[in-house]
This record gives sequence, C-alpha cells and structure tokens, in this order.
Amino acid sequence: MLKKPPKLKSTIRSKAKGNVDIAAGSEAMIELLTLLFLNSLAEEAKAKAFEEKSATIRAHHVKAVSKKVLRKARG
Amino acid sequence: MGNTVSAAKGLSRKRPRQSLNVTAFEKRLKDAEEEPENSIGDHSSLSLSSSSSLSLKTPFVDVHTEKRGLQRRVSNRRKITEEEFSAALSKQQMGDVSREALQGREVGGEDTNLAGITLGLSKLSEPDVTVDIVNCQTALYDQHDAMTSNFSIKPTIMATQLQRDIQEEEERREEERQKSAEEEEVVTNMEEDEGKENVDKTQDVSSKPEEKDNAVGFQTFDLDDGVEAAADSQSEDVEGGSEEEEAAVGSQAEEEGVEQSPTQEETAADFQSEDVEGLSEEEEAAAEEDEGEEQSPTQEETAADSQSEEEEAAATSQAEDKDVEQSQTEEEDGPPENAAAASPSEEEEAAAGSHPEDEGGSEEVYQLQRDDEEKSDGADRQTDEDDNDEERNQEEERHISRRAFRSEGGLVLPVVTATEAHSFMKSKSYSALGLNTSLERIQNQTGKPDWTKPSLQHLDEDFWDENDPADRKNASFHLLHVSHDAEVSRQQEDVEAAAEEAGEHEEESDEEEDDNEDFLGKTPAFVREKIKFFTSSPPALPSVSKNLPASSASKALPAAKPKQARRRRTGLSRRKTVLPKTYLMSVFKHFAKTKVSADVFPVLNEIMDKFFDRVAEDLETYAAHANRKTIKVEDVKLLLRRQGYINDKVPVEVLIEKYLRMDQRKILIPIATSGNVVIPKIRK
Repeated sequence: MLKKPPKLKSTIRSKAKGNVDIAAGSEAMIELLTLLFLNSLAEEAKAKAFEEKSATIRAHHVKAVSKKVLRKARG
Repeated sequence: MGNTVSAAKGLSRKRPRQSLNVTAFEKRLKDAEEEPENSIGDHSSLSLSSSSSLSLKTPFVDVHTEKRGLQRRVSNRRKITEEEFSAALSKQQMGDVSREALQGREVGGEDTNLAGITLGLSKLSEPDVTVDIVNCQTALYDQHDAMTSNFSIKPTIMATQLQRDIQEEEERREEERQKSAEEEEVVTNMEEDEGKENVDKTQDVSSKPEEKDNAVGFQTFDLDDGVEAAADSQSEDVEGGSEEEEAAVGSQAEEEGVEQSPTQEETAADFQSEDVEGLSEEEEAAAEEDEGEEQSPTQEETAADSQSEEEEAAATSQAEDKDVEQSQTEEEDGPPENAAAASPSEEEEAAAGSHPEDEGGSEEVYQLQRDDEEKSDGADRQTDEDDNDEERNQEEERHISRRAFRSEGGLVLPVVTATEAHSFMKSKSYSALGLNTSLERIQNQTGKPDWTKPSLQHLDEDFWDENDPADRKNASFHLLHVSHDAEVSRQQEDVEAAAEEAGEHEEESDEEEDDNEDFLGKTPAFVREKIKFFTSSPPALPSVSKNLPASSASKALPAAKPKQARRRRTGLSRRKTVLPKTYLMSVFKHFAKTKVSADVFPVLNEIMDKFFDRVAEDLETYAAHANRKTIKVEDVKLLLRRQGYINDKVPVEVLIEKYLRMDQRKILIPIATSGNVVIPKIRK
C-alpha cells in the first residue's frame, strides 16, 4: 500500500493473452484490485488462524482460505 | 418458654438449628427464670441470656434475642411444644443415636436433662433444639474424639512415612536453604575435608538434578551435610537430591535434627542399599539427623529391612557416632541409635570410622550424592580420598538416611528419599546403593520419573520390601564395582538427565523451527533466484518460482559465466513472482494485522499468481468486449463491480480513497479545486 508494487504492469501484461495496453489509470485500479484481494485474503486467513487459536498466520491457514477467496475474486 | 420453639416454628426466619439450640436452651432457662419475656424483646433476651445458667453467650444469643422479641404466643406454644417436644426428642434421639455412638449416652443424659428442663420450662423452644443441643454436643464430642484419635493414630502409624517424606522434603529444602546460607558455616563445621567430600558426594548423588550449585556448598559441609544427605538421599534418593543436600548441609550446620533427618534418611536409604557399609554410615548420618526428628524410628525400620544384611558391626565400629550407629543398627536390627543428637561432627567421625568398614557402599553412595551436584568436584575428591573418604561418606550417608528414616518414623523421608533415590538411580551405583538404603520405600512413594524409579527400586530393595531382592544384589555388585564410576555415572546421568530435559525442550523447539527452517531453506534459494531474476530481468514465470530453489542452489555456486547461465536459467526456470516478496509480505502483514509467519510467502505467491492470471484474463476480455486493446479504468471498475467490491451503494471512489495512495488517487479522482489555478488532470 505504501509502496508501489513494482512491475505490476509488466506482470499483468505478461499474463494477458493478447497484447493489451494498460492505461495509466487502470494501473492504479489494478493496484486497487490487488490490494482488495490481499485484504480479503488476509482477513480470511486471520479468521482461520484464530479458529485454530493461533495468533500467527501460517501457511496452512492461508492455503485453506485461498481457494475460497480466489473463487470470490473471479468476477 | 416456647419462645424459641414458637419462634423457630412460627417465625422460622432463621433456623440455625444449632444456634437455636443454644439460644433456645438459654431461653428456656431464662424463661423459667423470667417469665415475662415476650414483651421485653432484645433487652430481655439479653438479660436472660446473660443470666442463663448455660451462659451460652455466643452469637447465638443474638438469635435468641431476636426470636424472643418476635415471640409472642409463648403460653400457647409451650403446651404444644411440650408434647411435641418430647416426641421430637425421642425421635431425634433415635436418629442421633444412630448417627453418633456417643450421642447415645450423651443424648440420653441430656435428653433427660433437657426434658426435665423443658418440662419445667415448658419446652425448650423446640424438640429440635433440645435434640440439637444434645446432638450438637454429642457431635462435637464425637468429632473431637475422632479428631484426637486420628491425630494420635497418625504418628504412630508407620504409614506416617508419608509425613516423613513430606517432612523430609521440607526439611531438606530447609536444609538446603540453610546450607546455601550456611555453606560457609558448614565448611568451618566440617571437621574433615574428606568427610565433607564424602558427604558432598552423597548429597550430590541424591540431589544431583536439583542442586549443582548447592553441591559446592555441600561439599564444604562435608560430613555433616553429606551424612545427612546420604541418609536422606538414601531414603529418598532422587527427590531430595538437592534438597537433601541442602538440608543436610543446612541441618548439619544448623540443626541436624529436623533438616538432616530427611536428608539423612535419604542418604541412609541410599546407603542401605549398600548393605554392609552403608549401615554404619547411615546410622551415623541418621543419628545425626535424627536428633531433631523422628527419623530414627523410620530409619530403623528401613534400615532393619534393608540392612538386615548390613553389618551391625560396621555401625558399632563407628563408635564415633554411637547415636548414628545405633540408628543404623536399629535399622539393621542392631542396637537402636536414635540418639541422633549426634552432631555433624559426630557423623563425620562416624563416617570416617565407618568408611574403612564400608568400602564399596560408602564410596558409591558418596559418589552418588556428589554426582548430583558437582560432578567435577566429586570426582576430584573421590580420586583423592578414594576409599576412605568414600566409605566414610557413604557410611555416614547411610547413617543419616537411616537415621532419618528411623527418627522420622517413616515421615517425610519416603518422599525425600524417593527423590534422592531417583537421583541415585541414575547411575548403577545408585542402584547399588538403593538396595540397602531405606530409600526404597521412599522411592517407591515418590514415584519420580521413570528413570529414577528403577533406580529407586534398587535402592529401596533393602530398605523396603517392595523392591526386588534381585535389585539388591545388583546394587551390591554395583556398589562394589563402581566407586569412581558411580560418581562418573551419576554425573553422567545428571548430564543425561539434563540432556534429556534439554532434548525435550529442543524437540519442542525443533518442531517449531522445522517449519521455519524449511521455509528459510527455501527462501534463501528463492531469494537468490529472485535477485538473479531481477538482474537478468527475464519474463516472470510463476512456475519458475518453484524451480528457483533448486535452480538457484545449483546456480549460486558458479561465478561469472555461470552467472549468465544462471540468469538465463533463472529467467527461464524461475519466473519472477508476480509480486516482490517484500512488497507482498508487507502488504499482507498490513492487512492481516496479526503476526504472519514467513512461511506463508510461497503460498501467497502462488495465490497471487493465480489471481493475476484471472485479473489479466478478465480485463483483457472486457477490453476486447469494448473493442479496445487497452485496458482502461472502466474495465477495472467493471471487474471490481463484478467481484462485488463495488455496488451502487459503494462507489468506487470510496475504495480508491481507502486503499490507494495519494498519487494514484489523484489520477483516479479529480480533485475539485476552488478556482485554483491548478487544474487537476483527469485521466481516463
């Protein structure tokens, strides 16, 4: 959030099947997208960790919630 | 008269039966004395209560007064109560009698009295009251008797060993404390350096695990403490190892009686296992310790059991400590010692005397004790003193332990000895010692860790019937063979024990660390790859990331040329992660608001990778749908809407303001300026 995700644009571009350009503003929007996604991911993972009475989020917590969150962020 | 009765029944505000009884009784008495009570109320009641023959000026009086004030229909109730009272009394009496034997007679007597009184008083307020009174009295009486009887029984019972154990432990602790404080004193007290060493050894053995620091002090204590420790350790072996020593030390320095007894017993127990030699030593030790404690009796018992084999002569030979010897002998079936009052010096002397007699056992015992606390010291000393010292110490220790048992009368010691025994058990020597020592009993009771148990058993054998005779044999053998070994073994055991403990801790920590380690192992490689990737700036391939660790490891080694190769490889094999680790982790942590372990990164990476795939695909689709080749903001907005982040109620601007930095915000949201020259650029 505080930093600008480096190479976000190129990342997206590399992923995009076709050759698409990304407008400047849209890059910011994509940043917003990622942030929102990470936020929900973190929240879910936190809830899961609390479920297991652990104050620390661990990999298995995140993995357990990832599928659900990814599905939600499908659009 | 019937105030109490009526009050209780009619008012029934409070029914503190017992209190009523008293008060009621008083009332009746008073009523008899003074009829006009109802109106008087508290005042009258007070006076009555004071005047009552029962003089039950207890809080009950208050109740009584209260009731009296409330009571009004005295006359009527009296009549009723009289009749009912008698009936109730009889009933209650029946019940009471069944409940308490004593009550019977008391009740009978009281009943009659009460009855007489009640009749005269027109019932004591309530049959219940009278009965209660009777019952109460009887109850009290019974209870009292029971209690007294119980108390009386305890001390006499051998089972008091438990007490002894407790006491021993306590004592030992006390001793230990004292020892620490008195270490210096003990040193001075210690008559013989040798003795000290021996004692220390024994102490060490017993208290190995517990006090290594004390060991130093203990050593100084030498005979005094050592003997005690020996005695105690014997009895309790493992447990009181440290405690005993301290106790032994402290007790010796300060008071041999109480403190020493536990240690002595322990040591005694330990020694006992040694059979021959231990007896004398223990006795001495025990004698010393027993001074203040009852250990001697217990020791004797233990000694007798285990030491039957042991030599009374050995004890006798230790003329120095007659008391000690006696204690031992008692145990051994020899002359009762319990003179216990033997001072530490005496013990030492006796130990010294006994040492020559007790060659193997004493040494081992001594060694055992020492191991607990100071392996190095003990070893040194032992080597120096060798047999003499060891023997003495052992003997002393046995003495002490034995005495402790005897004197304590089976109290406390068992626990202490058990603990000591445990410590002893560690090494073979322990086992050997345990044979003779009365620790067996204690050991069994204490039920220390498994490793200690077996050792204890050995030790206890002699002392306690519980242990198998085989152990004794083994122990004896060990004793003979292991002189220095005992110490060493003990020390080793101590180390082992410590190691075990450490190991346990380590295990726990290890497990936790495993995950971290694994992750850590990956990250370095991964990071390396990342770095390489960035330098080479190859296209990002998520799949590569996984290969990175492997590839990076291999690549890391090479230098220049390999560097280039690495780059390529990294570029090919490892696609840059969708997002830099630091950025990703920082963002995630920020959102998580709780601790995030580092091992989530790989998972996160994977997830982000998939996410970006989807995002790119969708955006591309949207753009294509709009016949554009450029992903515009509205495309992303649409995506957001589809994802549910944005509604008609929640405009996207809200999100923008919430999450994006100012520069991005500026781009996205036109800032209204009031007539400023600055014109916001609205980018679309």
